[in-house]
Amino acid sequence: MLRIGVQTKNVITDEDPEAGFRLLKQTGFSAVDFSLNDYLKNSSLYRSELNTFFDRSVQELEAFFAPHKKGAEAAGIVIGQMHMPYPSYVPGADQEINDYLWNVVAPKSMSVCAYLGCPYIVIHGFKLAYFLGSEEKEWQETEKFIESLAPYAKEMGITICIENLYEGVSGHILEGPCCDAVKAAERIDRMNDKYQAEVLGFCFDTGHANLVGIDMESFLETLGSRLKVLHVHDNDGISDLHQIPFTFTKTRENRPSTDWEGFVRGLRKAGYGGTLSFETAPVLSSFPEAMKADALAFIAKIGAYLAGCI
Amino acid sequence: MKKVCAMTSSIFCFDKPAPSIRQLREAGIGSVMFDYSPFCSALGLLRLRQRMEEAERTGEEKPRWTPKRDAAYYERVTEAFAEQNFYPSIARLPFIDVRLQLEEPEEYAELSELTIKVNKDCIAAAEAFGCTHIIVQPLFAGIERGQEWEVNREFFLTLAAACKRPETKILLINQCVDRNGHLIRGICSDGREAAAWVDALNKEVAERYDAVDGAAGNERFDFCLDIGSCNLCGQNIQSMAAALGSRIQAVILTENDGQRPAKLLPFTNAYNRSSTMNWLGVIRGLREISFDGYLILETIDTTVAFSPLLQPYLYPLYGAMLDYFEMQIQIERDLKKYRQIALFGAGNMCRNYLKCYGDKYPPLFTCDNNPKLWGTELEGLAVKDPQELKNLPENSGVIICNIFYREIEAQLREMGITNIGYFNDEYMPSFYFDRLKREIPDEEEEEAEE
Repeated sequence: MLRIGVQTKNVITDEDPEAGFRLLKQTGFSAVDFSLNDYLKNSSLYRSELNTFFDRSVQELEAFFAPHKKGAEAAGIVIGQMHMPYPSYVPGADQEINDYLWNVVAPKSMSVCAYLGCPYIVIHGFKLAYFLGSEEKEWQETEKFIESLAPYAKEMGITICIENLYEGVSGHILEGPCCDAVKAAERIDRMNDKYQAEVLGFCFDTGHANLVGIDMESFLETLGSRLKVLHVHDNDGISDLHQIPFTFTKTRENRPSTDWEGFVRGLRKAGYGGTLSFETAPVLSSFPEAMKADALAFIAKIGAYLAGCI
Repeated sequence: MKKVCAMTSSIFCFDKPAPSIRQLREAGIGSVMFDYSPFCSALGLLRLRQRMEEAERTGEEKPRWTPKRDAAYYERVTEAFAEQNFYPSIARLPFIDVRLQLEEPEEYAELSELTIKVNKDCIAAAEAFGCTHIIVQPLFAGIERGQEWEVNREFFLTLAAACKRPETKILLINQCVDRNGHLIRGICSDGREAAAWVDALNKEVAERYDAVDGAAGNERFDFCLDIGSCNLCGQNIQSMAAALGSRIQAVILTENDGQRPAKLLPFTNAYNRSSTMNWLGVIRGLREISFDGYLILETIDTTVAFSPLLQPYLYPLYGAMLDYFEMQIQIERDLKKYRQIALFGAGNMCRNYLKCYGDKYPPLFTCDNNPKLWGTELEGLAVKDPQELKNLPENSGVIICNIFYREIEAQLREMGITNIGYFNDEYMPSFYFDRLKREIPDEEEEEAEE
């Protein structure tokens, strides 16, 4: 049976992580996507602002996350995947910032991932096609970054997962890095062959796919066993809203405008047996605090429904 | 490059075609893509057939089909083109809206059957009219997932067999599919798959020719890239173009908001002082494949949104738009034209030139009207007095690298210089990025490291 998971963001607090994990267990989840990215936010990075969180040594980071690990274990929740802080490269930022992201934040994220017993860490490919001239040249830079982490990944037994992303052109969302399943599959295979280990895999993001009109079924079928984790969420096809699946419609018949049936068929064809992990943290800030448990339970029920379909 | 306007995008009056054609010519628009949609429609025929069957069942009087746009009407329109020696060489057969939903499943088969008939008739008409390139929409309505290729293989081979002239090219086109009101990637929207379709069809046609009469088969199929459909699906158009390569023989140049399939004039769906279309990707992609086919401007929604009093003013803009895209796509054309070149302008545009094209087309020097810059260097290139341009060797050209194109061109002409070219850095193959320049080794260096 597939596990049902959700982001830790907006649920798990540093003050009392165990309470959050207990809530997740009670509302029907068995796994989490650990939001390490919440400790160094992308909005700050795009402003070239760093904080000191990752100045901690690995031992200090482990001590910091010890209650989280303990809390998850106590509640019977598996830390199934993690999101590395992103971006890992900020175009136009000072060299110092990018060196820090690349040489400090990324390897320490791997260490935290290993400490928490998490087998998958999701990264964002670099968005450099505008500057470098093509998706291929952009990928070369992402590949260098992955290569810098691959030895750690092999040693720690972690699979780094690339995710389908988007780019914005004056508010219009267009295909970004890792939106070509055939290329992604070839690149993953090449990397894993090189390291003789599953150091690279794929994280399929339903919301991002929906924004750029990707045929989910064929994309997932092409990925096959390279698909390791998911970011399940919904949107209106215009903005990256991270809402509850089946929320959006575009016609008077009110059928879902996101191709959830194609998603289910694609997972089936890919032989996916991992976690149905929801990346729906904005739902929890949108609903009143008093309804948080109900919102989570509803998301978990949708997960159970999708798992049943698969 | 053949620059044309989609006929239905212009203010084409089918009842009085002659003045419309004259207006197009006067605006400097070289030709049109002849559109067969106004003359016939498979869906229209299906509805008529259904009404007749209904009348048969109920005993009511059968509807009589008295089309306004019949064969004689079509002849009058084409004659007007002939009279003004304004022959279109590219045509588009009638399209069906990808959002079409029919009530009964069996209607789809009937619609496909009628589409084949209509398309065969239109191909005959287009060939008779002198069109060499014919854009055909793949069959999509009611086709089960996984059956798209098999159904369309038969469809396109049937149409290939209907072609009478060896030079006729059938152009497949990418399109969206409707998922409950959301337009996502549909048939031929994957560049690799579309290329495979074109190649497979050509191979089959070649084999059939060989088998039948031993004659060599020709490349009957190519591709028309609809930029608008790509944009609706948020596609990377540069990658799409690269995957299709030289199979792209026509490009539909249009704009939309990424949600609704409008056909707008490029750069008009703007927000925050910029178009929401990724024109950089379009231009980079078409440059990479050295596109030199039909550039088709399709702008019906923009055109009709304007008052008829203002519409005629759009025509010259459409002509200028086509010229602009041709210039951008063929930006290296002026650089290749002359044995040696000098630049005019010593600012950012010159710097961008040197970064992106300086190695491939090294200029002798640049010049600038600012005397303070004379005798200085920009990225290692000497900046001189424009008067030095008079001493250029024969067959040299001056490339303007400054946004004051008209003023500088006038200045050069006054100096007696006529070999003038234009450079523009709005859409560069890469953008200046100091830090990256230092970090990213050249390909040669990378190989050497291995």
